[in-house]
Amino acid sequence: MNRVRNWVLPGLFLTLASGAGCQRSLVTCDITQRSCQEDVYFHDLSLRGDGYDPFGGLPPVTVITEDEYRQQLIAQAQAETAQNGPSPWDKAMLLLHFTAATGSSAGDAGVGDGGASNDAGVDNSTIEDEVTHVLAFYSSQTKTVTIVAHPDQTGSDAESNAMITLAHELIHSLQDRELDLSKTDSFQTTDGYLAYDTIIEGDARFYETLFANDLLHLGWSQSNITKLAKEQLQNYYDNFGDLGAPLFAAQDLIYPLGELYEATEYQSGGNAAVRHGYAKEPPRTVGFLVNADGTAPPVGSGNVCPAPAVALASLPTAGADQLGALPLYTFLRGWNVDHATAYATAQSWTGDFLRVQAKADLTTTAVAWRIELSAPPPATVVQALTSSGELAVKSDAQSLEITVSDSQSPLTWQAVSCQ
Amino acid sequence: MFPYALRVLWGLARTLPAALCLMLSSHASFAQPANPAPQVQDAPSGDTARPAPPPPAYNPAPGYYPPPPYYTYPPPPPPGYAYPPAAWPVQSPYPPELYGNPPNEPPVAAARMQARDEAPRSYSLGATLATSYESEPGSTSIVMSPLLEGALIVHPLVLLDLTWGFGWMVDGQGLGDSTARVGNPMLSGFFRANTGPWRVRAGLGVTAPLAHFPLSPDGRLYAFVYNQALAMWGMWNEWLWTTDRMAVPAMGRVGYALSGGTVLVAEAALAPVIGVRGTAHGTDVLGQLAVEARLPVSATVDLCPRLQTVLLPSTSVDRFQSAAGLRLTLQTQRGRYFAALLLNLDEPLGVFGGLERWGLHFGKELDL
Repeated sequence: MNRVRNWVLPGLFLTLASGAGCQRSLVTCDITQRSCQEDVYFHDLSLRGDGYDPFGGLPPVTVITEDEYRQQLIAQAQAETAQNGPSPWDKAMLLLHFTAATGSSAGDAGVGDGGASNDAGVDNSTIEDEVTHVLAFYSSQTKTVTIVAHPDQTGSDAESNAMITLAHELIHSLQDRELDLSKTDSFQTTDGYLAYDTIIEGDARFYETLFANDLLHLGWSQSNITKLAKEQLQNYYDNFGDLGAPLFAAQDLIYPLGELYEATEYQSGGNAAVRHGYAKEPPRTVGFLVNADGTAPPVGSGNVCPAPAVALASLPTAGADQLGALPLYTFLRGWNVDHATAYATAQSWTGDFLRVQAKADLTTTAVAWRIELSAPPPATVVQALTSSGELAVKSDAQSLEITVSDSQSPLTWQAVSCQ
Repeated sequence: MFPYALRVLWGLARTLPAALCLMLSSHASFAQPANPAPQVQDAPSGDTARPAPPPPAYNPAPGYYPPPPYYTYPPPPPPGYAYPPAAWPVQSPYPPELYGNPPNEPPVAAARMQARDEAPRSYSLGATLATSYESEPGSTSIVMSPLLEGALIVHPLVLLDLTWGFGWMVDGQGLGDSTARVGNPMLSGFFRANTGPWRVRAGLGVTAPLAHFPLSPDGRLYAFVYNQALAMWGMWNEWLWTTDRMAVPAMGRVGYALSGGTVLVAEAALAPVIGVRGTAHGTDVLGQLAVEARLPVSATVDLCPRLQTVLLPSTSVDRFQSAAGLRLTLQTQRGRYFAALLLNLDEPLGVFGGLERWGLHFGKELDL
């Protein structure tokens, strides 16, 4: 009898275990509610499969009203305007047509280049656009997720969109414990920064897509997730004009490019491959400009001869940068080069050197951009860049040199010896 | 010469199964039981190595050197004392049985004299290998977490324990891309008191914050290993795995031996943890509580169901992680071995709405 009793407890345990396996259900909910946030968070954890860090947990989540968000944006824009002031880099980007004279993206919110501005020079239209459309965001400085409550956005579709956005932002909070998202402030080149950000945003976008698949029962599977990512990327290319100025288009393109990178890894070996994919992320954006078969072009050393300079003491060098292949692609698209040509040219990128020279009062700015390629630049590229007469372009078998300035008098450019 | 070679071979034959057993259980125990069960023993040889017994037909010629040892039989154990008393595997989630010590334990002075007479072992090594796997679409990751433990009796009432865990993960990317991390080693001191059927243990430990990973593209792999190692133990002794933090856990165990060999055990711990490295900062308090029963199935086999719950840090979504375990132990002449399944029950890791994490545990208890 004792033996029988001894087996009762284990038997109960096994019965319990056999009946286990009920997952937390994922249904549309209001992300301003804590229980909904937890549902989204746990589903993120389940999708990534990395387990649970009890010291991480759900990051602090703050819910603010649209008006509170508006006030934050205005204050932030005013602070940035007061702190930064006019920059030679802003002028340089404008001269190359990387940015437009009229602000066209949330990326330059508050700069006040154009549009309806208030007395402090803050772009009200951009801020209103953000207030209306931003559902949530993650701050690596405060380590918090902020949800913007939109009382007028009701219904199942609005709730689903908000949940998918929250899923994306919560992925960032998970990344922040692994990667240190504030590292993006320490990159020396735009190319390095964009490559790093491509992985971060691509990862968040990829799991956001998986989340949407589960929430909306879209029926995507591991076998067709890459095809889906390719289609989404192609959609960006096809509607390039909607992405705004080339600089902001590059910032937008990192999402689908990174998603495609992750989806390719995922299809090859699930989450395990994605985890390792992090560790071997391309250090330059050219690594994300993959061919149709998914292979990436050679990254190259990034080493390049310096861009030419204007030999004027009154025009000191304000700075130099390496923009990388992705901005080169968007730059060419901005100058009306077709997708296939711009993409192939960007894929042949091996290095670039952007030099900005400016007078102290910013009355004169001169920009030189030397791009080195593994193949001769197509004639259509040179033709497109020189068509308006704003840019001076020199090309040879393996490089493009673009110079432009806002000087009233012609400047003399001198080649800088290659070390 | 020939008989000597025979003795060497016989000695090797005797030690081979034990060596194999040690290899398979990822465990090394170099000491003999303090109070061995009745068995044939060899005569003392003056060497630390025990001489091998002669073969049955051994009949040495006169004057052969060295002289063959004689069989001697140890005195029978005291009544109700069939197996050596087991020390508490203090950091294992599974305490051993409590009926090892005789009900009427001699006074400390007598115990000391007995200890001196019998030259009992003063240290022991134990190990548990926890393992699990994460099966996802397109990939399977196997995680192993060995927990090594050494104990030293510094006084009949005081035991020092050193525990150190490790994590290792291999997935579809291959062995060359496997990832390993170290846990936080913990040094603990335990006071041991036995009164009638009651067994009480109280201890204090401190961990060294060696568990760490750099924030880098590899960070997700490292976090995976630590998170899965935690999950396989149901977050038990969380401070052994939590990164960048040190802890000072206060631990206690109470056992009560019922008639028929059944033993009930309750154990608890409370630990302040302090962020000391990396991005960890601040202080938090962790806690844990478990109840376990040891149910004899046969003379050498016990079944031990267990329920445990762990108080998680204040930053956690859920503040408690509960788990159920079932352990099968086998008493052998070389110690007590076990195999166990631990199943997390509730969120965040459990099978009911959580991440469905579990762990299989194999190992050998400390056998002081």
